[in-house]
Amino acid sequence: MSGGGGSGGTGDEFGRAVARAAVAQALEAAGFDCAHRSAVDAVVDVLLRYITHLGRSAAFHANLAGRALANELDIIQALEEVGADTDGFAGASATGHCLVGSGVVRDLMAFVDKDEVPFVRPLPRFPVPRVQPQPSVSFAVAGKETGMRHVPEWLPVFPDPHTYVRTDAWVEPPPTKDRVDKVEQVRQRRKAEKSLLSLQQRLAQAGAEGFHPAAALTQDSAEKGKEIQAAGTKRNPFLEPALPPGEKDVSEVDAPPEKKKLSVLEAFAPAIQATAVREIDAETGLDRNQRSIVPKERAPVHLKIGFGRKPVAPVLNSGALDLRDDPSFLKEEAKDDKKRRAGMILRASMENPQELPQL
Amino acid sequence: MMSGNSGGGGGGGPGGGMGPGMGGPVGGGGDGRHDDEAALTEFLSSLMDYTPTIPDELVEHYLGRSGFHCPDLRLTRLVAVATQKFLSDIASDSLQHCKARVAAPIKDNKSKQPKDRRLVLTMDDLSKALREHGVNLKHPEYFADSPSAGMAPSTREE
Repeated sequence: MSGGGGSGGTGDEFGRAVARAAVAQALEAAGFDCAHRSAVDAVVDVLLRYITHLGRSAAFHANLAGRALANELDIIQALEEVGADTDGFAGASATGHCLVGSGVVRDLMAFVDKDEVPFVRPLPRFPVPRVQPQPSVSFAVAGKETGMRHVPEWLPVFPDPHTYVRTDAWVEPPPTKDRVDKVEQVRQRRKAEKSLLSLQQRLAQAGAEGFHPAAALTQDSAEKGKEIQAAGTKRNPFLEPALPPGEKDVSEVDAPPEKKKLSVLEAFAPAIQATAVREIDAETGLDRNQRSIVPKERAPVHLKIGFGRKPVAPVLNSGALDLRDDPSFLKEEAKDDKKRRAGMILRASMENPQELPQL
Repeated sequence: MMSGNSGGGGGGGPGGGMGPGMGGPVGGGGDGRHDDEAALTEFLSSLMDYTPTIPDELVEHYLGRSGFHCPDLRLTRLVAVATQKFLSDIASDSLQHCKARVAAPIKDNKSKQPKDRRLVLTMDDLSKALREHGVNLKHPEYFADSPSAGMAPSTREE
């Protein structure tokens, strides 16, 4: 058999199913009771190849004669070539005869005269075209100008420009990192200033007027941040004015200074940890504090609020407990420059609260 | 259409397989040819009354795939009838093979009775029938999972 039905096995399921039904009907008409499925499939395959071969041969003969459409004589010729029957047909040996009187036709006529077995079910025309192809309009029909001299009018129109011209969609640029950092810096600076201001006010009021720090705190609570508030909402006993000596009997026990330092540390934590602190000229403050940083003696009981020359701001290192004895208080800023500056500001404010313009 | 072709001098025009012996029987065979043409015409028109087993849509689909385009339904019917004849030939040949297989070894009178023996189209009979038509059909008898499947345990161990 020729290769006319080359692709018959793939993707042609509906035709094969229909052919299977037809073959089964023909087999039953021939006298078979049943059949193997593989045998039926083989017959279907042979049948489809036969039909395809007939069509190809007929089309070939028509083209050979210069026609596009085939007629019945082409089919008869194809049938003669294929060999309709193993026994041959009458007149097969004759070469120069007319196809009209071909033996093939006579065989077919004899076959048709036998009993007729029509196909059981009506079939739709297949393959069913799913999408009606849209005929493209030419330039002349659309009434458009091609715009190019080498493009004639009978060609279909070009597609719309929006289908091939690509414009970038506007995308909001994400906030750059620099901007984010700067915003963050400004925010922390403001926080530091707020905490500074609140602390200075508290200390000034507590030292000058003997005012209750709680009331002062409640005044400032609206302005302060949460960090200061958390530290100062409770009434800090260490910020109270010092008792005059002899008024109250106190035991000779060292009051733990860590508490004061921690509370102050809490108050100053945001200011100290802020990455951006306003530049304040702390050079003079440093010089002033250096002389008074290390006292000669240590008062075990009475704790004086650091309005004197003593720095109150605690060291951030957890190892250093006593500020006054620790000469490395000023040296710790080597670790962090900004923390050092924050410490400077605080000390300067401790020493000269009146000089600050905020008050 | 047929009269137009006959006006062209018999079968000289259509068909590429015409031999050079055309000019011979022109006068004497004209009546015969006309009879043949009339018979063919009548046959084609009678095809419209006959419904072949193979449906027209199927034949048209496969003819279209092979390049044979014809709007005439009679030609489609002609191809359908020819195919049906081919199919019936194969079926009858394989039926003969099947009956010959049943009739040959008569061992048991009970099982080989023709009336209760069911005629089954098998690949074996089909391949024999198709071989005469020029189609070589080879069918494997069975498929096994592994080369040693179904063998005796002793040989499998080896």
